[in-house]
Amino acid sequence: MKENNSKKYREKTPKRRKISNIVYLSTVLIAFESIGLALLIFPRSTVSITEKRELKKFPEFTLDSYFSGEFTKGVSEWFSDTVPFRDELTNAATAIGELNGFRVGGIRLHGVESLPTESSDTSTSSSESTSSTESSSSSSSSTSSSSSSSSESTHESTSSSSEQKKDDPNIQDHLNITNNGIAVVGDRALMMYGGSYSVGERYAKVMNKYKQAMPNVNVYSMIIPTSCEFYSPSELNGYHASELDNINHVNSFLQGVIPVDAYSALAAHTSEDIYLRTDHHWAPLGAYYAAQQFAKTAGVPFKDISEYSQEVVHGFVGTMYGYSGDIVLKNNPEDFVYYVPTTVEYTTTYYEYELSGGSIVGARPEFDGKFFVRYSDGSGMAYCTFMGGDSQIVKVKTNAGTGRRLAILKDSYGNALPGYLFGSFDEIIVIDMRYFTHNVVDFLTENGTTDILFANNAFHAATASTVTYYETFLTQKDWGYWQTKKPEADAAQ
Amino acid sequence: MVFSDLFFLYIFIPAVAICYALARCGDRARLKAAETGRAPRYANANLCPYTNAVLIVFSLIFYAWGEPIYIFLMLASVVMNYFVGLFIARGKQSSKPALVVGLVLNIAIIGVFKYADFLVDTLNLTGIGIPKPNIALPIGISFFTFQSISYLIDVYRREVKAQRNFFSLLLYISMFPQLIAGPIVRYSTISEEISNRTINFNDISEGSFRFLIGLGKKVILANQLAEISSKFLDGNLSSLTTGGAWLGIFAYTLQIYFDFSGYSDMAIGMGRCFGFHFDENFNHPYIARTITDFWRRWHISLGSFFRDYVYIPLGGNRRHQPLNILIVWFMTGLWHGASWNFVLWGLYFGAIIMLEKYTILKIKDKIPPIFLHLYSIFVIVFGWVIFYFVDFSRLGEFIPILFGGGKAGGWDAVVHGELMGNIWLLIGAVICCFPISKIIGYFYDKSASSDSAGGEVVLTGLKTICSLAILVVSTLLLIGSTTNPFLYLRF
Repeated sequence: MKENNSKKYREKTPKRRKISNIVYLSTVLIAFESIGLALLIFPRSTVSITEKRELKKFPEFTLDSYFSGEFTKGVSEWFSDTVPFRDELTNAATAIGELNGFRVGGIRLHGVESLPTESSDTSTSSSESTSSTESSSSSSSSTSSSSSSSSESTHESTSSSSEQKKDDPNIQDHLNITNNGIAVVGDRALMMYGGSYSVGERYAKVMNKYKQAMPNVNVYSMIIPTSCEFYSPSELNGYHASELDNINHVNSFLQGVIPVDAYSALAAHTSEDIYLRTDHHWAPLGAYYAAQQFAKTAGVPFKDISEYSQEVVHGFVGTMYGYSGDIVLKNNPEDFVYYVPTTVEYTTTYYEYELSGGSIVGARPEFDGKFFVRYSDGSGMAYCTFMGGDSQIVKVKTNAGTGRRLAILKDSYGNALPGYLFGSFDEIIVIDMRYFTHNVVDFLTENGTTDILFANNAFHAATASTVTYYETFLTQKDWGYWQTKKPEADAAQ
Repeated sequence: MVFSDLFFLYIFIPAVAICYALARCGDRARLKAAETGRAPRYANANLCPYTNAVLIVFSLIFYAWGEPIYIFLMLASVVMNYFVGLFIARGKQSSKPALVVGLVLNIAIIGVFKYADFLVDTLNLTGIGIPKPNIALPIGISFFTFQSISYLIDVYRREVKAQRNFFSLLLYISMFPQLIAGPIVRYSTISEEISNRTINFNDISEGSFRFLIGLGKKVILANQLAEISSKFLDGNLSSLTTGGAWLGIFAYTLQIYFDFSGYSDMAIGMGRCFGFHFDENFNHPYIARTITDFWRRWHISLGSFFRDYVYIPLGGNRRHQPLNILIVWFMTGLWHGASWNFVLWGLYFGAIIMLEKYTILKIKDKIPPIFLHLYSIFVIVFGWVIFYFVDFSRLGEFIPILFGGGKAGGWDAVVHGELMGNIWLLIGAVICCFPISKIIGYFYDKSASSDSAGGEVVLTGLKTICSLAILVVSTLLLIGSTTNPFLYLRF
């Protein structure tokens, strides 16, 4: 009986196999065509919020672009880059990547390498230190590029970074500087510090030059430690250098420049939210403690945090998700908490540059605006709350009545500081180290500046380009922006 | 254009599929008209002119997408081989000179476009100072040139007839599934199918499944393994630990297999959907017990090419075998790239294969299989070290690290984190090196359910779920991935 049944089934097998093939093929084809149609029907993405960049544009057809292969390559890249619902789908892809294994001790490293040992006891000559700086800088950039090319996600964030830099330099200032990858420890991302001592000496010396050029002005150096200094677990000790050592190293070369000990001020509050977990910046609360330390060092009054209103942007996921592609960061958003002064009057004037390819190509007419820009919940741009970005000079006039006028020369970390100093200085000029077209001595002298604060994070204090920028400010001639408009305004009056 | 590209998957493939289906209707109508006497019917006629035309047009678009200039080189190569083939077939007196001319021209093409810079660099080592021509490598030149050579030799040997229809030869050489990264399809394999082929549901079903398996190998395994390998192999070697070196090269060992065999699977699968049956190019090479066995399983179409067109004509086992082996493996290495490390890699395997003939092959039945596997894997992995580092100084730096001679020590948190962070991927990849489908088929056939409708449903269900998962996951992983070339595209 059993044999009969078996025979019967065998006879039916070809038909069954055919039906199986039809079922299989139709299912796969339906799925394939559904995805294909979805890619064609739904509107294509134009911006990636996750990577904070504009996506590829459809390439322009020319015979040259066709025969060079750029056009066809551009079409493929455009199609792949501008997929509908791109961020949601790449988040899903990142989540799938998480299934490849598990995290040891809750740690995942992205492009991190062990660091070669370097002594802070440098007795090199100036020329030697310059060349070593260059090689250090280039080796760190090559390390960065190699680590980025090693992974699709990191590569993506790096390639996006270069584009993003053109549009939004505020959140890009870490990309071309020395870093040793990203460690995600629990739900906190740490950019690993790979700073070089040799740049530190040059950084100190350029600040000394400012003091020499403006002997009657108080010059302060605040090197702001980053989160890896305080939150990196011991097992990662071999993968980042000591920021404190480098800060002390820089301070040892200062002549007439007053160091501001932001390190100790922050170290005393590491149990509080002084750094953002998902962003490469510090949190506004950390800036508060550093500003307090600065006010103490400069001998100016300082308003207690109770004199500020607390504002919160919920659901903030910062730059480190885009840089690392680590889904843990995406899945653990944080509150971006900032503080708006309520007991001081101030007006903010913007002198904004026009950029192309990351370079200054023009300037907009000056305008008054808000110092604090409110971002909606879930926005990944919340750190731009302070002045909205970097590519500008900002003047804040206050009713502090202290007779002191401050200029802050800073990177994006420094953006969080001025808001706490409105009650301390009559005027605060905020100058970004990458965007300034005046001769700094002439400019600050004309403005009657009494105090200069260099406020840069430890990464930038160990980066050769930082020194170059500040040196250029001392020697460059005024580019002519805004001044050319002034006579017209005067004539009109 | 590469197979693992969203534009290829969701624009090119649907376009070619729709046009191919319409053309097939045209071919059928034409055949029916011939059968009913409404149209003339010729013996040996091309029964698929419309589908062939579609394949040729799309193959040219496919190639021109990546090589808008060098497509003319490829077309010129086809024209040349077409006429040379006809001359070879003409008669005894003209066949040998024609073959020689054909071989010289084909070798000249690959020599100029692939090896000119390498040759100049090598000569310049003697201090001559010849300016470097800087010729860009046309995609797939190694594959379509070797196919052309095999065609000419097979015609000369009277193993196949010369193709008198230029477009049929153009289709054979330019067919996009195998154009740019193989397998090196012999003309005899598909000569009949070029002019007369049938397609049924089974072909399309099996072909689609094979294509998706290949896609998964490339996108899910190879691309993700590439992240691990380049993390350790492309970085600063002075900070590389021994563990990192092994993890990196182990990941690369898996990556190159899934990358290349994935491409071959996709090519074979697509060919099947169009009614062509290409020969297998891989047969689970990492389960080999000897290196001789490995090379019978790895890139089979290249190995058989050198065997049939170089090794045997040189005398094979009969005359000066060691010299023949040396020549074949020198050429095998050089075929993979215009760099001395590839030559060294080829000679490394040639030497081991020669040694095996006098040692392991004679006693392999007495050695426990596990030791043979371990020996083979070690030799293969070490071979990939030579293959990976084009720069000899980095190769020289890397090898001591493998054996504990690095400055960074044996193990660190980076290696540990990377290993554990990808442990399932690595284990999954290792499992996929085994002939899983054959194992499943074996147990399925042995089980009682193989005769039941339920068994068929389960098998089809598994196949469908597996295919859908690969399709969805691969699509997700390809989003935003703009540089995703197959490793063998550079050869």
